[in-house]
Amino acid sequence: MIFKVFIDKEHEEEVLIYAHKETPLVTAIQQLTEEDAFILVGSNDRETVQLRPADVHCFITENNKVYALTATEKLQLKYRLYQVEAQLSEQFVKINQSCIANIRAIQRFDATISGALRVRFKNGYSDFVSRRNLKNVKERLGF
Amino acid sequence: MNQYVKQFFHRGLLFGGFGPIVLGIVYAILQETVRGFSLTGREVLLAILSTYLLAFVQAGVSVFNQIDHWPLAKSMLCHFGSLYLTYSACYLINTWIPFAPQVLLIFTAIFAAVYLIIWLTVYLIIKATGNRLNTKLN
Repeated sequence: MIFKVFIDKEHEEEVLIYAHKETPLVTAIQQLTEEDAFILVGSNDRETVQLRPADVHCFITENNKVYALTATEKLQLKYRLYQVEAQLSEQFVKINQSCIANIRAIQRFDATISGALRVRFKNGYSDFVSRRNLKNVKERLGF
Repeated sequence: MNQYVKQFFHRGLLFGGFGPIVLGIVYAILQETVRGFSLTGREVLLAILSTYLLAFVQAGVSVFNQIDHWPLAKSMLCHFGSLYLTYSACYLINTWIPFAPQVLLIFTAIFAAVYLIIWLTVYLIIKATGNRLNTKLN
């Protein structure tokens, strides 16, 4: 597949793909484009910032507040978790009632002595895969 | 309130009711299979309350293993200890086992063996699942 980029401030930003069939690459580009179009607004003690879902490692709920955890920051969102979930691409998967994980940001899965499956994210955060969501996680990872 | 204490009570309240349900099934089977099986109201009440507590603790103690800053030995000891004490107390209160040293020794050995087998089985299954998922991440 030939790849071309035209930097033109006058032209509307768009991604066009001519492909013989829908491949994983086409799907991935489509997902990236959709994610890029969805901008979240999060805030911490100091500032309010815009962030792309792709930069978020996971979305969590704590004390009825929704947070986006990036590589370095924890930003509070003004959305409900289900509202965020509805806007996210296939690259995100709900791992338990209060956590939506970015598959690209998962470092590894660990078994715990309690018989639970723990997800360790690249930013150091860890959470558990609930039994209810395990099937979904497996499917998203291609099982 | 500490989040782990909250989770302990939350899980306990969710699953505590299963204790008396299992008890009822066992009593129904005993009534059908054991001739002359009967219980007093007091025995039934004691059995219901103690099995509710048993299921409550059984569900709640899984929290011990999720306290990340606890060392593995402490988590397991608290998990095993809480279950062992609750099960022993429940069995003794209901006189399902007699209060005799030999019997308690056998009960302890069986309890520890079953605990180890169940733990090992669950752990190995989850570990295998985790390993399979990790191959898809890399």
